[in-house]
Amino acid sequence: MLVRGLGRVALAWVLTYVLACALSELAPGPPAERAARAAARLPDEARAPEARRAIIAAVERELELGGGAAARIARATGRALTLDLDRSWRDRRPVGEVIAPGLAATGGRALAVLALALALGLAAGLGAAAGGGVRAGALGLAVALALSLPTVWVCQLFLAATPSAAGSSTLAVLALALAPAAVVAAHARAAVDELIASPLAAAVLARGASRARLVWIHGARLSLPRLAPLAASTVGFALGAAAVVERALALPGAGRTLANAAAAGDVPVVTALAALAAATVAATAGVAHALARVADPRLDDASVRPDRGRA
Amino acid sequence: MSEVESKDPLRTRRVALAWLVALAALALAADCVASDRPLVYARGGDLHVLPGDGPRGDALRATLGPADWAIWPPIAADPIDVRTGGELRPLAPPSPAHRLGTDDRGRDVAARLVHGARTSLTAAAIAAALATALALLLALAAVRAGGTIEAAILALCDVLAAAPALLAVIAIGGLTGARGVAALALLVAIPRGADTARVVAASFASTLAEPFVAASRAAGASPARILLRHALPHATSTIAAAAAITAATTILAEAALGFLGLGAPPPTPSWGELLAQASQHELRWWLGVPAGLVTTFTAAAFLRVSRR
Repeated sequence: MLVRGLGRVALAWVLTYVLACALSELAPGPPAERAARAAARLPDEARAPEARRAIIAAVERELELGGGAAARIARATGRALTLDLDRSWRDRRPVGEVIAPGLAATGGRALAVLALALALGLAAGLGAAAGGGVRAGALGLAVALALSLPTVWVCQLFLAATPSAAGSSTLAVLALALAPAAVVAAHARAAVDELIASPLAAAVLARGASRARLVWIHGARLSLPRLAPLAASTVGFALGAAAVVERALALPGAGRTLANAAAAGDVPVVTALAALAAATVAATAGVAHALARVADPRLDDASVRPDRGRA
Repeated sequence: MSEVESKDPLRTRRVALAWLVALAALALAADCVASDRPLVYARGGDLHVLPGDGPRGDALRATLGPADWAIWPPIAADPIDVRTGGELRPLAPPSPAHRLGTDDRGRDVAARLVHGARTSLTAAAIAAALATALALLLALAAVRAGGTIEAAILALCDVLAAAPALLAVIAIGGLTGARGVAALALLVAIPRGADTARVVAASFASTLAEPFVAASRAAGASPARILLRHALPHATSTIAAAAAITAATTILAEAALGFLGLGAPPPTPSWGELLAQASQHELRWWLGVPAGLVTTFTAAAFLRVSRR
């Protein structure tokens, strides 16, 4: 299982690199010219055409951007396989140096978002299932609202409510966890509704357990494995929306680095961050799947094969 | 009370549809709702209806005599150009002249909000149409081919749909240099189209297993006819729901990209750009709150319409 999981992470890393390099070839203008423009070193074509051509040629040599598109994609893929992240087009520093300072902050926040979304979502979903009626209706409205609020506006509302909290990671985690928690709540409630309609629920209630115990104990235990697939999408959302939240709350992080690199057209930085995000999402999916199988062995296909135990 | 109404006592679906229809009408008629050109005016005995050129705003008002008259749009301000008659009022709070105040260049926020609806809804409509076309193409190709090709197409859809949407949109925008409404729509449409294709392919497969399809096949109907005449109509509600979700995703992505400065290029009015201005200018409420509310209502309306 571990080997398969690592294989998926490696595949996500390499595929994203290849795809990103291929996409960057669709951008208008030769790569060397775009790299020079990203570094703001390109004079106006009309004023100094010779100097402009010389700078583009120098950038092409310096960043090895010559040859055709296929050669550039092959070079980038080779570098990705050896974990060489290339150099930033904007400031010529190694990409690792550019992105490293923000990785820990954004990664930590993504993990906190995952934990908070699971806790909040599970509590809300189970609470609605236990209460039924009005609580279930309120959950439906809350889920719809949480999924419709633009993340940037959520940050602004938080900042307006607590002006001194600018630069707070807690606010960032809260803002990022809102939408994933809504999705978790909806799934948890659906899982418990299914449980309540199952023979297991009748058996548990017949043994004298209360409805609250059925929902909060049995419901939580049985719905957790079903929430595992949401872990990857939650981390993916947290990494993507980090660009917005970090800028809105003036926080340092990889999301802000991505937004700045995307605005400047710094292809190596954007590619590396996209590949890292893809690998992180793949790793989260693998870990969540493994944990879900530990929590509920029935998810293991081998253990529920219809021919198992037959002569 | 009908069964549908008993499940939705607040009639939220109708409210959502009404909001979307009103917004679409507003977007279509934005030039008549928010503009510094009068709808009709009479000057020196000449009647001008929906004038496309000539004097505007305060310049026109100054030329109108006692016998002349003009009917102005409800928001008599241009969303892009500032014609103030000499007084520039950036970041002015709401007043009778500017009911939702002005932005950092003195432009009327209400006018930019109305014209921003056009930007957001255009992106949403293009994205929904592209995603639906892509989904139908992929699902029809997968179900028609079957076997390994079907598995390969659905695996590709799985990979594309699993990509974090906002991160993918930001990254692809940075890699390709794509900016503007059409680029945003295309970037959202690709992963959403792949996601929709999986659902539509499942719907097609379910319909193709029905006895009436076997009867149709036995009667000599070709595979293409079965897909187009039987499978496709049964998937209509699924496709419509997915298109509404795509539209909601686009509205939220436009707000995020506009805020990051990666959306529609200036001076195009957009809701995301108003939210960005609110962040840049000490959260002035007239910049952020109206744009946040309309973005939320519109995304919520699309999501509500997507559910039965």
